Amino acid sequence: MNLLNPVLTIIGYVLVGIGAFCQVVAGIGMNRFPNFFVRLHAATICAIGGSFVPIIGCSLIALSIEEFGVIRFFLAGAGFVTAVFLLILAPVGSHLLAKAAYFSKAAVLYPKAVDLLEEDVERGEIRE
Amino acid sequence: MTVEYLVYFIPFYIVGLVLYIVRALKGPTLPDMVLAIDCMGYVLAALLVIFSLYLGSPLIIACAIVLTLWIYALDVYMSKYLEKKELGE
Amino acid sequence: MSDLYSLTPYVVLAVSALASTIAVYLAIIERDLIKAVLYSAIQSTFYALIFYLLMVPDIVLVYIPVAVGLLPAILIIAVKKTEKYEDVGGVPRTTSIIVLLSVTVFTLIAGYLLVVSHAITFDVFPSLDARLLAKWFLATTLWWNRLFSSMSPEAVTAIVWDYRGLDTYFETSVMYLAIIGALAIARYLDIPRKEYREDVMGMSIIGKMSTRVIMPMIIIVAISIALHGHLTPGGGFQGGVTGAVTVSLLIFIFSVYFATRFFKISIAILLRIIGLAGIVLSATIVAIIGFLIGQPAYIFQNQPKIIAQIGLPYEIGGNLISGTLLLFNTSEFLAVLMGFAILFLLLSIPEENVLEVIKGEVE
Repeated sequence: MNLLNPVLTIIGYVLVGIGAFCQVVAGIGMNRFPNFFVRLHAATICAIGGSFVPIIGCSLIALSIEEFGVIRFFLAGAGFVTAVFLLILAPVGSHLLAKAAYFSKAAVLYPKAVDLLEEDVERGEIRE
Repeated sequence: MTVEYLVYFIPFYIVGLVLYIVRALKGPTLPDMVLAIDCMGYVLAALLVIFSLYLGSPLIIACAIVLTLWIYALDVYMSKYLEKKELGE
Repeated sequence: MSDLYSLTPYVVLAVSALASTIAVYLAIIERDLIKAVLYSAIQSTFYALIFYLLMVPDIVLVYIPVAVGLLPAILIIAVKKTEKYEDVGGVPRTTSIIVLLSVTVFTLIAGYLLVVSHAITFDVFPSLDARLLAKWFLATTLWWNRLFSSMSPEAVTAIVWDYRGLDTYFETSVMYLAIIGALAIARYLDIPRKEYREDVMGMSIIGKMSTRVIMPMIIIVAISIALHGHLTPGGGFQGGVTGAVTVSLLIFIFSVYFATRFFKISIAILLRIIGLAGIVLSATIVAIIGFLIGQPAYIFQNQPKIIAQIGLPYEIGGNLISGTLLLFNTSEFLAVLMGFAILFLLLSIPEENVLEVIKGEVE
């Protein structure tokens, strides 16, 4: 395990750095994008790139610290569980919110180039 | 200890957090606000894990799991509210 | 440079305090009630972060579910059943701007003073010097002597049950009485019997499928938080409210007719009574044993004391169970989870059935 520790630490720090970059990018996007449906992209970057990746990185760093003793496996395990929950739940939450916002017309779809879903609903192929 | 370098990454997460707060307080429509609160929850989950590692107390990490779960539940409530249906159906 | 970066937790504290203050202010003056609920959710999230940085994970584990999850759910249901806009004239714009500015300036000054005090003392975050009371509590809870401590490495749970057992018991009883009140208000109501149909009811198929995948994992996490309450932060209440996510997801994502396949209100009431009986049992079990074998013992006693020499074993086969703490956590988990299940089931009864019952009452 001793030989593997520096590798785990470096990989972990790289992942945390990717997360920091993605957070800033997603934050800018969240403020600059014109409407709700475009902001969903920024939310995806925040959830997966900005949160899932650094949590995995922190778990890897935690595995490499032998000063914590046995309890580092608790930290790493809880981190992986959080990451898996995030990976499954964040996109589903965004999907449910987007569907509800589209069909209830709560979000304005203002700069609109094409809306295939609307045409499908008009033709009766898709039910709400 | 190799944990101390984590502190150089934390300010970036805080910049993201502040940008999400701006959108959550400003957001013209309801879904915008909910989306920004979602993002706040996710960056907070990441921050909780990073802080538990940086402050050297691994036992406090269970909060991150609970935060992720309840942010998802908030999503579900709000989309259920936006749908024009009875709440139980 | 490194000194500057060591201020980071303080900066995070200041940012969270400022954001939560602004969110509270907006929640008060907002006329759209759903937006007010969302502002209050923002405030709760930041309070959770503040509590986390002050190293009270047990409070965070209670605060997040109650203030981010359950309170918005109940308020959203209430708003949906009544009306969306508050019927009061708003605050004038200049007044609101003045109040918001003064609050912001005050928060910034407070944060500045915090940073200055840190710069003077250069203390480690969080502070390492404990006060006398904290030292006394830590000495009597984390001292591995059966006569003085409760043999649990988690100080909060030990204090909550060994030093404040009666308080905890009454808190649980208050929640029990509140749910009894809700049941009494809804005494003639019942969930209508209707067949669950996958294609019409509930939300989209993606949500249903992933909820089916995630549900067992949530239950396992909740049970582990509850049963490790004497080892790690958490406990019965925290595990119970985490488990209550599953109930709310079942009702909101599938439907209430799908949820009643698994448990009905009567079964939930029965399990809740079992949970409360377990709490009573864990409060009195040492006294009962002492009565049976004819030795002095106390109610709410866990480990042997100097003048009452009996107590529950603190480990079974090398695994730490801390006497009555495990029994207490299991019972509290059951009671809290079933209490919130009853609440969600009652709140999701369709409006038409409620109106029918009310009409019958009036006539």
